[in-house]
Amino acid sequence: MIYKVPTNFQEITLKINVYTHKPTTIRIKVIDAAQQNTTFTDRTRLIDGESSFYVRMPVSSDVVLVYVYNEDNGNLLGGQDSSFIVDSITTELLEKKLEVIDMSNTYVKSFITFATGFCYNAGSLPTGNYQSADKTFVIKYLPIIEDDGKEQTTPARIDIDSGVIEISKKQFLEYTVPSRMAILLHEFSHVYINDNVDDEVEADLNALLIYLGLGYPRIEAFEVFASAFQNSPSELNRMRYDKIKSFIDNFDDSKVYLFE
Amino acid sequence: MLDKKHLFWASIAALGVLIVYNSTRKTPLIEVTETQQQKAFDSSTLPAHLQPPYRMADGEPMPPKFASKRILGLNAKPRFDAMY
Repeated sequence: MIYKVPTNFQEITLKINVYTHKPTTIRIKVIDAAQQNTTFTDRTRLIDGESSFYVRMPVSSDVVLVYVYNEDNGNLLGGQDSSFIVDSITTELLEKKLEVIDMSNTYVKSFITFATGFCYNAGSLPTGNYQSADKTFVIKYLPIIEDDGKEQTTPARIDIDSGVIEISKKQFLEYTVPSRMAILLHEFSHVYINDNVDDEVEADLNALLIYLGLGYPRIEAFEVFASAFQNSPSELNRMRYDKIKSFIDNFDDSKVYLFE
Repeated sequence: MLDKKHLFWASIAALGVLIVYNSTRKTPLIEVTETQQQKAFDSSTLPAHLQPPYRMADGEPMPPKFASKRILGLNAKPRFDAMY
């Protein structure tokens, strides 16, 4: 089933109440009704009885399409699938923690604006070089990232010396808007926030502090890191995942330190 | 008979109820078919905070290099998937 929900470009949390008669894997997908390749979330959960999906949306479009379906049956029209019921869809206030973000850092403020516009529009932007309004940041939106003619597995990387971020359009199209944001904030953190520019864990946590503070969904952060680490399994990436999980778990309990 | 103190707290309570009511909006369930989605997209109608960034012209010079905190050497490009 697909539902049309007006979100009016506002910062909101979508609450989708679903009921199942027995344990059923339900998929929720929220996409922009107007722009192609623009997904706000795509997740599944095993539901037995009544449950709610909360979709945090610091960025939303004018109208979104909410897909709700039984993963086993696929997306069917209403009345054709009796294995679940969509009880209601409500819009609620988005909870943010802007106080954890160092907005006095001009780089941070400028990059958030630049990255938000880029991530939301990446599904329809042509490849090319994109520049922030203050001309500080540049993104090279490439068809693919390659070295010596060989396609690289990473969706993004940053040049330490120039600060230019390279992004693989081929890979970015597959990511949700929040996932794109998490990736860009990670690359940004390497050069503009980290004390040690080549410290991956430091870049992960600096990026997450901004990402979570802006109110982006926790599940998308897990998924984007997990998917990147699956493609590149290593001891470093296993350690990164553990740190990320711990950081996100503690963030909502306010156990995370604020920036100095 | 309500005195000023009770009236004050009653007003606060009413304001609280109004805030909660207005912050949670139940959307009527409108089911659509896939064919109704994603008509022609025009980014010029987006609000300012969602406008796409400026696309540089071919040959347009890059901005001055950012002064990195530490020089790692040529071609140092940390990757999101950290596979070097």
